[in-house]
Amino acid sequence: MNRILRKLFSNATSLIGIILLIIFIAIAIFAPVIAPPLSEDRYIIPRMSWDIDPQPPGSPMSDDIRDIYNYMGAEIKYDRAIFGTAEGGYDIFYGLIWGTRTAFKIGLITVSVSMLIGLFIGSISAYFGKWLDEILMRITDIFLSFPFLVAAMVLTTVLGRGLDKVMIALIVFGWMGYARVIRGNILSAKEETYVMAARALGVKDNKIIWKHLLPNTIFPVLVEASMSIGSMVVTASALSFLGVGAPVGYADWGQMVSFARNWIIGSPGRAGQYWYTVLYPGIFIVLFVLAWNLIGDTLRDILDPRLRGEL
Amino acid sequence: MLSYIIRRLLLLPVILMGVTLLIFCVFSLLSPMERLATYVHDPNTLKNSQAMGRLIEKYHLNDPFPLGYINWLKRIINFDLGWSQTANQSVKDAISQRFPVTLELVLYSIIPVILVGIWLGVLSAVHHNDMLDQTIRVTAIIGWSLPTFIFGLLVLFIFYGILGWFPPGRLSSWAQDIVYTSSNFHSYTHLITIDALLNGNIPIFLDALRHLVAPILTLSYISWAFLLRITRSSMLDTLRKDYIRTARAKGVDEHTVIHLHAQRNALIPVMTISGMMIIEMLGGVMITETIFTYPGLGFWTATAAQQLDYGSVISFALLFSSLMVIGNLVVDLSYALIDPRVRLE
Amino acid sequence: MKRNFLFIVFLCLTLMLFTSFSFAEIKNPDTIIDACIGGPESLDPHWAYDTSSGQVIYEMYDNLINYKGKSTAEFVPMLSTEVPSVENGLISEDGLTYTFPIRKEVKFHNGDILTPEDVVYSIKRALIFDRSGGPTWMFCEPLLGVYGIEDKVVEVYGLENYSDIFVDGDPRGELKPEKKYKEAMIKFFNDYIDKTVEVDGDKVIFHLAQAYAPFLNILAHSGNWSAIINKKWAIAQGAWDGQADNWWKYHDPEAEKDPLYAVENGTGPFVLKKWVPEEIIMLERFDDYWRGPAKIKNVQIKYISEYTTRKLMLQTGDADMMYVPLQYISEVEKIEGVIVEKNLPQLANVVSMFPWTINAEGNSYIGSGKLDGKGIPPDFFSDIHVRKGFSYLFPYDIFIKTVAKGMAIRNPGPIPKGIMGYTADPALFYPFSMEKAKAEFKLAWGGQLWEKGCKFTIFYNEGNDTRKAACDMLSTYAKMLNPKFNLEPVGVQWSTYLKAFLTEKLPIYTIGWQADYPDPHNWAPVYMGSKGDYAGFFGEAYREFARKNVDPLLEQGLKETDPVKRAVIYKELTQIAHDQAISIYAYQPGGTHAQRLYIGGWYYNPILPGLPACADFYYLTKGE
Repeated sequence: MNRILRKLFSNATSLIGIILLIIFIAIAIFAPVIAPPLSEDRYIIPRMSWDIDPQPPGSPMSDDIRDIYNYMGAEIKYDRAIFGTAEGGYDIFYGLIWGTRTAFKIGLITVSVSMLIGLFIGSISAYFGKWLDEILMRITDIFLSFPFLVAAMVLTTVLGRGLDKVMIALIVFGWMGYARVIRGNILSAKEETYVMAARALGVKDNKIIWKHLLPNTIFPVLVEASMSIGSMVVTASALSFLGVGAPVGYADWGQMVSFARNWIIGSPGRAGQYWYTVLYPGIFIVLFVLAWNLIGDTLRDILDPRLRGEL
Repeated sequence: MLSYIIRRLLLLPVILMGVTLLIFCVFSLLSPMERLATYVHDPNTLKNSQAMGRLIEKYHLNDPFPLGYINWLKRIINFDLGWSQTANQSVKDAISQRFPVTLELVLYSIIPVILVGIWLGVLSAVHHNDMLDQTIRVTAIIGWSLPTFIFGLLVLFIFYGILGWFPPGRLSSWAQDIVYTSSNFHSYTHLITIDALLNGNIPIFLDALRHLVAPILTLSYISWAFLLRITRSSMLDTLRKDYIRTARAKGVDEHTVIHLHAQRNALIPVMTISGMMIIEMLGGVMITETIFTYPGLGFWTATAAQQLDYGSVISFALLFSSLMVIGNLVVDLSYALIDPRVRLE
Repeated sequence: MKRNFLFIVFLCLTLMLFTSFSFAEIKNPDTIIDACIGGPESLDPHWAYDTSSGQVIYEMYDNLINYKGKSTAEFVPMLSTEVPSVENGLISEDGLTYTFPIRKEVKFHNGDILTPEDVVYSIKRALIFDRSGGPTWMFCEPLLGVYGIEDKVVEVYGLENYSDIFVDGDPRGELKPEKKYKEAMIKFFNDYIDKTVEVDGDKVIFHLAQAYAPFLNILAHSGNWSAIINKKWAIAQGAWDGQADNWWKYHDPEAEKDPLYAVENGTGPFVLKKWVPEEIIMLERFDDYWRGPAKIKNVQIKYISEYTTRKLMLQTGDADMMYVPLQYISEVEKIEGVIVEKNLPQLANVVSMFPWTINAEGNSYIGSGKLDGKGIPPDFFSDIHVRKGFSYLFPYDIFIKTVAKGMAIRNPGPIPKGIMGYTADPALFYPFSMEKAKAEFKLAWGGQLWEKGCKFTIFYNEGNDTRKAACDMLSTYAKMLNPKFNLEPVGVQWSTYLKAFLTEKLPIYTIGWQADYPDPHNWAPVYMGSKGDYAGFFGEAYREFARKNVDPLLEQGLKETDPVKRAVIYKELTQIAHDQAISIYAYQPGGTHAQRLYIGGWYYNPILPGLPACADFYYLTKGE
């Protein structure tokens, strides 16, 4: 463990990744301070104006909206759109800051749950073998045969919009990779002498799985999982782009980008006029995924037994 | 070998049934009135509540789940895939119209993916851990982190909006005229580039190519990062092998060692994976097709999924699943053929 | 070596590619290209009930009469040689008989000559075809007095359901074998369908079941359902053969069994060249058109759902006109070489409706279902003070200014501007006033509402940002007025919306309507009648009220032939809408049209089918 951490910190690429990740974690934790919520539901992005056009960075809150807050006696803790507003007057800055929390939520929950499911199915399938293995692997094949994006779209369309529905869809169609990997690893580890010895000694099956097999085979899975966190966030934002996913106005990075869709080319003659609608959300998404990928990539190199001597 | 192939192929119908059953299940979660939404886009078409009942009856939206599934199976056996409300044509026509389009796009995308991915992967492995390796890896990772839709929109903007080089769609108007309506143009394969060449029509060939560049760029750039990593690790693996060490010891020059010996062997697993990549691409082509208005399967399926046109979604899933199963089989077979140590149980 | 060779090949290809680009002055000089969204559902005039199909059918088929230029109230003859009226005797005094002398020497696209037989066949086939969810109810209402032919069969023979007379209750299957069923169906045809329209020499005569003021509107060119098709050709394609003894087999078929879905043979100025569904439709000029050939040789309508792509096409000249959603119009205006028309009066409006009784069964949208601050009772909106309160609460002008960018106007009632019966009487408009809203709410439910508050969901259809903004505004201002008013705006999929709508579970819902034809009978009943497309779902309490107070007026308005008297009747209805605060008549959107400068001959008529605002391609020119 220590060796791994040491290696991670010493490698330039992974170090950058770790720093980025720490920044994001800080943003997520301190979100209420950085972008104080203006209404009860903190994940609904406040509107700076009712305007359809995106407003440039630094624009002040429009008077109509200011009147509303004054009337309600609510304190206006900040009244400038630092990063500008997206289509419909949604404050981009707020959306991105609170979207960090959403991103972590999506990434961590979907990956951990699908990993657990995959581990469970993969390990019992590999360990007990025979017809249980056959059935479970066929079921895995069925799920694998689904075109992922289509399946996710269908599920979210049927279940309705909402962050939880998106996560369900991602989990339902995301566990198969883990199942296969762990199964493969266990299948080879099963023939190892220490396992045979444990069996000969009469150690119970689940103890063997838990204490011997899993710990020795789980690392590649963890590496895969960490890299998936980034791609889960990208997939979730792709779903938002396609029109299913988090509800409109929810603080989610994919939402912010989908707002930019029709403004990305700006006005003729002033191409890129609405650069802030794409750039800011884009940076957040890219850096977040980058962080996980940098760490994961190096981690994979570290754990690759064939490269053990090199790093 | 033959029995292995047959056994694997026997799995195909099982998997197909499983896939379709699952999709059907999901759609059955909706009540008949919700599924009516596929056919009713405006409440004004339901002049009175009678119309609602008639529509539900007409499209069998009320059938209990097992009955609905069995009816659908019966039609499938007769190759009647039903009508696609979102494509406004029969599902069979919709698929046969769109499949070549997507196929053309995906096939052409594979070329830059393979060329660039492998080249960079080899390079990266050979210069393992020094600046070049790091740079390539980071570029690949960045490429992998940028969502397709942002990249696609930017490509559209730069290459069409500003430069005017690569327009969206599949063909320009004049080319469309000829391909769709001229009796002189024969569509043998429905892959326009190939057809144009077969008809000896170079301008159309170039026009089709011109419309392909931007989507190919968008579709391929994620995949080459993936291929790069696979190539790199496979190459690293191979470079450590004994016979490489022997070749070096024998004094063979480095260039030959890398390209003649290592690369050839390292690429074997890579090539087989490429096969699966083609099929994966078929599944992920939705966003690219949407942005560039490329009238293929992905775009249509995305729309169908959103409008609960389950007949279309199921048919696409069937197609895709079949390809996946067959593709997996081909990959496993090629592993076995190439590496005699692999035994097929 | 191999690598260098590949590289050279690549270089050559790229070179060839770039030299193949043509940057012509005006691209495609003999083709006009329209970039739209959607795509036609069917080319069969009797099936299609969507604007995309309508737009295309409009160009390929003609009707008996046409609208005069930009007017929605005046007609000119088309396939008929005269426009019937009471004055020229072609409409009978009682309004039940219409006579149309049919024009001679008009050619169909396949060369056949138009005869009165074709007209009669078209109408009868429409009645028989009567697809569920289709447009032919517009014939059934005047010619049979009901909304659909099945309803007439049920009425005449006192059946429970139309499907009862079929084996296994399958109306697409066989009739029950007993002879009496077949005889009854044949008799039905002869007694009712056959008598609705007949040939008399070179004239066609319609016999209506009830006096129907908008009958000419229904027949006019813009309604694809009354396009005239070629009888001989249609029969050859496999459509109804014109006989009485099997008409039910051609009734309400499934889409794949409709022989006319992808083919056409009209008398219109354009011929179908190629249709690739959801992608493109290509039309070519019909040189033997009876009005003289169109000016432009080819028309292409491309269906591109991505707004950005359409806009770029318009910019580069790859498209000559495009559909622009309202919020992006300011962007499109700035494109060089493009002209944009705004604020075109559209025959459409958006309304937020209050159902008087909400279906409470398993309904989570009304919270606790009681007036305890955590929900609303199912008859919440039956209290007029509640409705009036909300009518004062909606910020009409702010909405029109910011969300609709000023390109919309208010309506006082269900009838929009441009339709006869519209009134701009300022007394009928509810002003946006927090004070008045407060006063009304305090009176609601004996003061309990103000004290306890309320909580419910308001809906909009996912993907519609203007409606979302409207809901957000209502919710925000309600909260401002009284913090105990919790209106939660929720966007749902169309399927969920539809189901909730049909089961009458929606509290306030916002939806729009677009004209089938420009007559108040296509508006007032929808929003106010007890059987209205929308109002019919307001619950039993409303339906009762409507039956007593609204329906009789609607009847009158329908049958009245004097336009002055009609206007008075519809004004009275608007007054009722106001006094009862039946709905929030949020806005009537202005249409927009974006095209390149070198397109000439475009004019606006709100009734032209297609997305706003489309064109009558017959008159368009490209270039000088």
